[in-house]
Amino acid sequence: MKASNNPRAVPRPASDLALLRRFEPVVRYTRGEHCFPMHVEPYVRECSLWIHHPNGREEMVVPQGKLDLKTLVQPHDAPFGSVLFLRFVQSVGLGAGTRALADQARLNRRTHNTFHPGPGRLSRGGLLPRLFDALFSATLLLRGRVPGATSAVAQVTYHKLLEASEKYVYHGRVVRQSGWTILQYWFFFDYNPWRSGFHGVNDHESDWEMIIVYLYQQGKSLVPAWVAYASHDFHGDDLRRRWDDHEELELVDGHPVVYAGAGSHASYFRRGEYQAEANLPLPGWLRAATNTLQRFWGRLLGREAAGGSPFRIPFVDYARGDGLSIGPGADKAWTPVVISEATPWVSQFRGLWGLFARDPLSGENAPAGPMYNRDGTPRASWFDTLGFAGLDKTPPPPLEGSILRARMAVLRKTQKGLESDIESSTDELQRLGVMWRGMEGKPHLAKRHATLGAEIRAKSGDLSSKRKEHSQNSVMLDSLDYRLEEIDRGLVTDPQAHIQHRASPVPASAVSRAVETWAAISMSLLFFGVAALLIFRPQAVLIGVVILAIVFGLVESVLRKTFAASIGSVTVLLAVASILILGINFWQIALAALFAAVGWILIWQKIQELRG
Amino acid sequence: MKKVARPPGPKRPGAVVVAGWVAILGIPFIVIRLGWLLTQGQLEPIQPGQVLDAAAWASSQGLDTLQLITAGLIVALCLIAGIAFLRLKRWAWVTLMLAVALGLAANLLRYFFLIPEYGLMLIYAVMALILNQGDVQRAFRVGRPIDESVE
Repeated sequence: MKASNNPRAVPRPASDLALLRRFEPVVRYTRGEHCFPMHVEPYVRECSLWIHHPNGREEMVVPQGKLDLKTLVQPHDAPFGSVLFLRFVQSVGLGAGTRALADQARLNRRTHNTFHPGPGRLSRGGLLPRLFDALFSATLLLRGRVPGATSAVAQVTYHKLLEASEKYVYHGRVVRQSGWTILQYWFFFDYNPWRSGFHGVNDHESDWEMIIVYLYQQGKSLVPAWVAYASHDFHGDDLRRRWDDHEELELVDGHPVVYAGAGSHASYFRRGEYQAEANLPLPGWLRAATNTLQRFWGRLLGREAAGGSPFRIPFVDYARGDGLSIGPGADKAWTPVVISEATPWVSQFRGLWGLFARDPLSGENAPAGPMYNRDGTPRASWFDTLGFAGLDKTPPPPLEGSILRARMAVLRKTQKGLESDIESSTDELQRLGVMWRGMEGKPHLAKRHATLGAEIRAKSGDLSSKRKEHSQNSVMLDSLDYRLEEIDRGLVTDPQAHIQHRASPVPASAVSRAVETWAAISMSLLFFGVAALLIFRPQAVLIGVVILAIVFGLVESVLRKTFAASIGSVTVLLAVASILILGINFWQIALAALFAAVGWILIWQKIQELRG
Repeated sequence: MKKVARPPGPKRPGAVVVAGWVAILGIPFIVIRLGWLLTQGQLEPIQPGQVLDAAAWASSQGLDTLQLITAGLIVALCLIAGIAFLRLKRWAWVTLMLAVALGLAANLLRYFFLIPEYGLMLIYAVMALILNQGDVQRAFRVGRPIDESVE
């Protein structure tokens, strides 16, 4: 703990817009990113408005060219279960798609804005995650997905809009709540090309991302205290960093720096490559069984678990910050637009801001606006801006001391009451005890003696509870007193104490070319092997698959230099299977051996006890 | 000539001694069992002079021959690794684990497709669990150090 350097206070700006500008972030994108924050208006002008009916029929409500922010918010009656959505990229035929892909390639060459993934995400996971990745990719053929050329068309269209009017826009909102002044910066993108452009989980039309700056008032100034970055679907304490946490939070002239994930646009505090994991939606019983098996494997057998659920697909979120930067002192400047509940398109359009791809997992469906979830319910990050980052339990620093003092006064009053109660209860108990003792040896007073005994026990229990409460309150008061002293002396506490799970960039992968190549081709080889078995040895498919899996696992472990650990794991697995077989076939002997072992241990313990 | 006292070697955990000796003493058990199976006619390998084509290997004789080859490999590995294990050679752990893995796999195959060998199955399973113990792994510098966090 060290002496405080109060975060820099700024004079209270005259307007919300000026306030937003004072703390607007610097966002650094990854090279290869081609979607940047834009105003919703030009986007909506490019869109058509649709209704997806519960029977699967899709109806165009407003055609492209006729839609603007005014027509967007006009009410549209639709049956329950319908989905209202925008469509930025109109239906793409083969010819238009091919042209768009060629235009996209030309554009990337011209702007020299190409992405190089480096060590592939697949080589960061083992054989099992790769198998699930292959299956996950296969599910995209069955699930709804954004059509292939949509990303290219979206990029080309966005580039035309940018050429017509080059603006990088955030939609800012100011909320005053529970002593906090909260600045929300919403970033709107025409497209989320994470899957098609950066080997990520999903693509969808439109994307909303957000960061929040929390300020408190000190005299006539405002002081920034916390900043929270939205990242995928996470929420709570882990999303926020304290303004003076220089290890985690980068500031440029009082503006927080955001590193945006390539394609996903998720916000990170530090530059780097983040391992995002998509967990497969499993039934509860399978998840519980997996957890039990993992505990058995890790704790009882002492084998090193692979880390996390085996039913996960590793994806890399590239937040390298080596591309375009937007913000104060950066490559491009912001154009702010102030929004609130009073902004019609914010509160009155509850539909999706892009294509409804009919994906039951929602990953490929466009998101709704800043105020709503996809199902039209209010979005927590809009209506609960404090709770979203776990700040609802934290008062602004100037109020903390007075709240603490008030709480301590209540506790001290409670202590005084308890002390008085304890004193009177003790007197009462001693009086009863003397009487109870005086009745001993008098058979004619047996009934009263028993009644008095029960009363003494009850009062004694009550007194014990009061003493316990008094003792706990004393400890609590000591602790609060210590905290009050810290506050009064202006001491700075650990800025990261609230963080449970920190998103940290993974170190640059040091895998060899051989591992990468193997990671890229192994799944295909495995599937070819199974196909060959089905054709040439259909009677030995099961055993063949097991042998193939073992061989592939061994090759993988040799390439990754984990052969010893892999052999150990395989052997322990075979041993467990063998023990199960032995247990089933010789359960009586196994049970007898178990009882004999317990008997032997008990005898051993008693002998040790006797020997003293 | 004055005898120079050898410096004391690294301490062998009790489980290492047990595993090493079980590996070595298990060899006669495997050999006697195989011999018994051969004399009883329960194992009929391909005889010298027989044509070694795909059909021969796919026959029951071919499978028996494969079993004998596997058993021979396990015996050789157990002998080499067992001695090296007692001398705390670093590579002995992996070699012995490999032998145990082969033994377990072969016995599981026998259980599902032929006549099970429960005695060997038990020995190999116990061996695997002994080799998996933390102090045994540390004696051969396998796995993670004791003071390293799992996180």
